[in-house]
Amino acid sequence: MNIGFVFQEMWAGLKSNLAMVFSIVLVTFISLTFVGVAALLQMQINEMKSYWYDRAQVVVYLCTDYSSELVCPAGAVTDEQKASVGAQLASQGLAPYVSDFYFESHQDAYEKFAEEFADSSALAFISPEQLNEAYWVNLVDPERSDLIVESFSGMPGVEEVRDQRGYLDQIFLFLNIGSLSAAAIAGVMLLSATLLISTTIRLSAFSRRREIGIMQLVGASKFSIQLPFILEGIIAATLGALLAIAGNYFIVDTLVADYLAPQLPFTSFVGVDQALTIAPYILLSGVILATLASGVSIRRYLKN
Amino acid sequence: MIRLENVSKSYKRSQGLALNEVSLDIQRGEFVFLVGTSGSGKSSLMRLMLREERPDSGEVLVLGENLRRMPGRRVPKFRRRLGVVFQDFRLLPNKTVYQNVAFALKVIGKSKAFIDAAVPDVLKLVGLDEKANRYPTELSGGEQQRVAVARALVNRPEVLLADEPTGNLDPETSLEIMGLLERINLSGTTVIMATHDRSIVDRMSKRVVEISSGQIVRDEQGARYREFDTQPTETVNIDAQPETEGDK
Repeated sequence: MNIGFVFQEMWAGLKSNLAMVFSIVLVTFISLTFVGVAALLQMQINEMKSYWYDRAQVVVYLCTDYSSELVCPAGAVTDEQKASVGAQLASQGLAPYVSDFYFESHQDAYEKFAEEFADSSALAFISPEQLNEAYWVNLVDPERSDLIVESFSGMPGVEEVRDQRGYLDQIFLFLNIGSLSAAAIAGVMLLSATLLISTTIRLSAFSRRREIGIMQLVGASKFSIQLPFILEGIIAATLGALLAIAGNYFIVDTLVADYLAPQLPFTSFVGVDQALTIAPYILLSGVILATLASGVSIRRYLKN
Repeated sequence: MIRLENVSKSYKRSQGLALNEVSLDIQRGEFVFLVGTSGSGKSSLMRLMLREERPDSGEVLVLGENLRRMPGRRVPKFRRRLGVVFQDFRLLPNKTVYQNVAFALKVIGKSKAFIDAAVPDVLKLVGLDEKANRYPTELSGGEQQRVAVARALVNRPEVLLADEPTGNLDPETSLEIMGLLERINLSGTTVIMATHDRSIVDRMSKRVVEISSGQIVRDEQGARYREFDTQPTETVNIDAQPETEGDK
């Protein structure tokens, strides 16, 4: 096979089909950008999960005088009750799951509150007694928080056991919905990219049917007849994939790093590293998509 | 060289057989006319020999290959040993004479050195070396067909299949093409030509294989397009067909 000839044919095909080729570039660009966004969102979720889940604690809130009578019928927690909660946290049964825990008094809670809401007028209406005393528990495996919740819920003197991951899960739910939406859009766009590539290749083959006819007649191999068309699809899709990689780079480098990150200072965001990590996969999926779509299309065209 | 044994072929859309138990033997170096009306089965026969189609039954042996059993992937290699010419020339309008001929070699991966040597040679053979840089639209019909012949010959095929090569040409130009085909035949290439050009067949006095309704009704050396009506062996119905009367 003559490589120079194959590229010459491919180039002729690209030139004669410029508008269609351009639309392949655009559609693969958009579809692969969405693939990238979906992947980046998943990475963002995992990053946040590993960061926050490790820090997420289970809090055993103890009854105060202000607690609802439904959960704390006996009023504020007694010293014995407090001690027995502490003893159970330290017990042999929970030891494998609890990495450490500490007690937070009314005063501790108030100081923390005062620090967090220093600028808020709410501070003036709060007294230390209104804030719960609590045990803060760090788990070996944050996934096993159910053990603590089960052990202490309903125990005398305990108002509530709360897994902080509950708050996070809501955030992750939103992010997951975002990621899935991006993936769904990517799926639809990839489908249209596939259809567009196969239509374009069929058109390209039709506009060169004379050449194809002669090639078949004089005994050109199937591969050398098909290759220029497959390469045509691959070149167009590669351009689209490169644009998508640039698009994802722009999203993490400019939109996230310059605009989002300063507004949410305590959150770690996906960055250029992650965008570069997924870049080869985006390129690869563009190339694979184009190879399959154009390969199947030209093969079917030649069969008729 | 070419042998057909009890070949039958039918097409889905039409009723009856396009070819019915056809047997034919063609030796190396022969010049054979395939004659018959449109729809008689000439073209089916040509397509079978090119392995564009496979027979329903019977064997098609060309250049030592059994085409009925040949897998698709071996067809390109096989076709490189054949040359084909059509009534409508099938040249590429955006390529020059030289490029049209070179195209046939390029696509089968011949080296530039080979192409540079072979193309001028074959253009000289068909008498177009002066017009190598012209485009097909700048040539007469006869010249275009000579380009097509050059393209068919440039890879030195053992067999040249010509399907109505003079069908679009005036009588004088047709003779020119026939002279070229005869020279090619004399140099050792087997030539099989489907035609219904009566004057050419009569003038050349070669082997004539006549097909009618999918069957070989006549196979004669040094024959004319038609037997005389008085010949008792001839099937009557062929001469009665009116559409052949309009043939050149």
